[in-house]
Amino acid sequence: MLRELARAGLDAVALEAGAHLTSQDFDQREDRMLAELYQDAGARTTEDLAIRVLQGRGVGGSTVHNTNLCKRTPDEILELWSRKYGIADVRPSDLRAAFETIERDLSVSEMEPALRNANNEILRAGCEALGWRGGPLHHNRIGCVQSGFCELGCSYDAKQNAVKVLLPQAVRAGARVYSDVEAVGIVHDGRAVAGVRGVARGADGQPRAAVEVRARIVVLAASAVGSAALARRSGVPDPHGTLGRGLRMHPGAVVVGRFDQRVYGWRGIPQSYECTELLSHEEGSDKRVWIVTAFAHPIGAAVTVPGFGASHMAAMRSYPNLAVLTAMVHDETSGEVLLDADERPVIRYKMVERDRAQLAIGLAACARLLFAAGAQEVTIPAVAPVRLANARALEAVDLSVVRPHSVPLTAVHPMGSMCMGQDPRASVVRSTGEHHQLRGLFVADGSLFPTSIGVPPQISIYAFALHLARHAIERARAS
Amino acid sequence: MGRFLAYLEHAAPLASGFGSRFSRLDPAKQDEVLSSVEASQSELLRAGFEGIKSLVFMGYYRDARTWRAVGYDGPWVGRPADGWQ
Repeated sequence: MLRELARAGLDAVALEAGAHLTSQDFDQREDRMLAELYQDAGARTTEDLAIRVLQGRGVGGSTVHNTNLCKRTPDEILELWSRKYGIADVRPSDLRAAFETIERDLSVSEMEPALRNANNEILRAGCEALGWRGGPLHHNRIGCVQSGFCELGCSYDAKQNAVKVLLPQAVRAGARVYSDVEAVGIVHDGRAVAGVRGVARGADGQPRAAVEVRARIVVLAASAVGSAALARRSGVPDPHGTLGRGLRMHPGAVVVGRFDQRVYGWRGIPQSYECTELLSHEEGSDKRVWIVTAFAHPIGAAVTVPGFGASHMAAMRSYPNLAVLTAMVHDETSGEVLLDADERPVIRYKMVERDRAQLAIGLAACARLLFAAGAQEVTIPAVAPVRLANARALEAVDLSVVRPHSVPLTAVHPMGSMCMGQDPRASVVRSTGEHHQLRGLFVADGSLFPTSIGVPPQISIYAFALHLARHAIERARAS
Repeated sequence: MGRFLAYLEHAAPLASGFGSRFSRLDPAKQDEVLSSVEASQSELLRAGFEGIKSLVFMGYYRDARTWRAVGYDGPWVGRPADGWQ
């Protein structure tokens, strides 16, 4: 969006609360990089502590730490948004040009078999043995050395992401990007925006100066959590109580398989293959599970492995022999972004039974895939861990143990807290991306989505920003 | 987190039938107390346990001496010629 505004000749300014880090800053150490690259130093959770929420912070946002998966918004989802939510110009044919542009800009390509590490090869082998639907994923990397440290930032600058590709293009077109400046309020009179108030911070995190940007339009791009929180603390008109509601988390949990052979799951590109056997994007579908690999470096792994002490250490000693899969739920649960007394975001999300059941189905499927690929033992981490010696043992397992507060849940794709729609009583922004009540306020991130999309959202977010940019440009010129 | 630590030190041992503060129990009894907190009926206590576990393992598994024990060869950036010790 910033690039499009600048290329249209507008004076475009971006404020980013976090720092501007580059490949030299990324040292591949979990303890340091989690704190640098993630909101709340990687410790963000839902209000009830059931779901860990990993969201990026700093110039480039989550595109600095993500694993570069590139999937378009499924056609069924776009058709649903057009049909049920009355959103104009979002049929697949309307978005095609935007998808093609962003995929070209980010050099998106299919990951060929030579790029597949052993963990992903196990997922492929499991799919083939069971006859389940699966296939290679697409990514945006050039010059990848397959170090496997993607989630800690790329030390080799191989990610064709916002900070490497799009922001430099925006700056060349005349945009200004300010890091270490937190937007704390949208300036408005209840009818139209007038700018943004911010706080510039030093390296120690302490406030150094107040900042005010006077502007004819303001574009929120602070994520489904951050954008809704900023709108709330700014007192953006909300006559129908829709702001912050409709939050989807795309939550997931993991299943661990132990193999006779070494897997070295931390080496190589983390995610290159997907299983879509249990994923269909039709509304109300009872197949809403996306399965990919989810290997973690030692701190992440140690936190997920059940227990502590000697038994935990014994499990960790088989670290090189583990393969890990995750099932993420294309969720129907509707959460909410609120503010606490210090105006910090609060994520309220109570998983509904239909989603919990999907999660249980998904974890059982992960276990089947691991056994089909030759696992000696499979564990579903839970408060009482489920340990399985073979696929048949699954039939005897009571899958009601798969629930929030029992299995550790993680969400990396929050979306839908300021959703688009035709009806102002049921949505926050119009089909143009502009707020129903507040003229000049636009949204250009995953907050827009009225439902989960059930796949990683980065390409959808970029494409919607491109797709909606002309409306923001028109408003800026008309004001 | 401070309140959870106070609970662990003073109240949790009593709940497991031990009349001493946590830090003065022998390791086997400490494990017993931790196991009961880990499997507690209370979601808040379980979350507190997970929080402590995350902090402890953050410290433990950031150390190259632990990497060797679990067969992890560590970051490429700054790796010594003969590997992390």
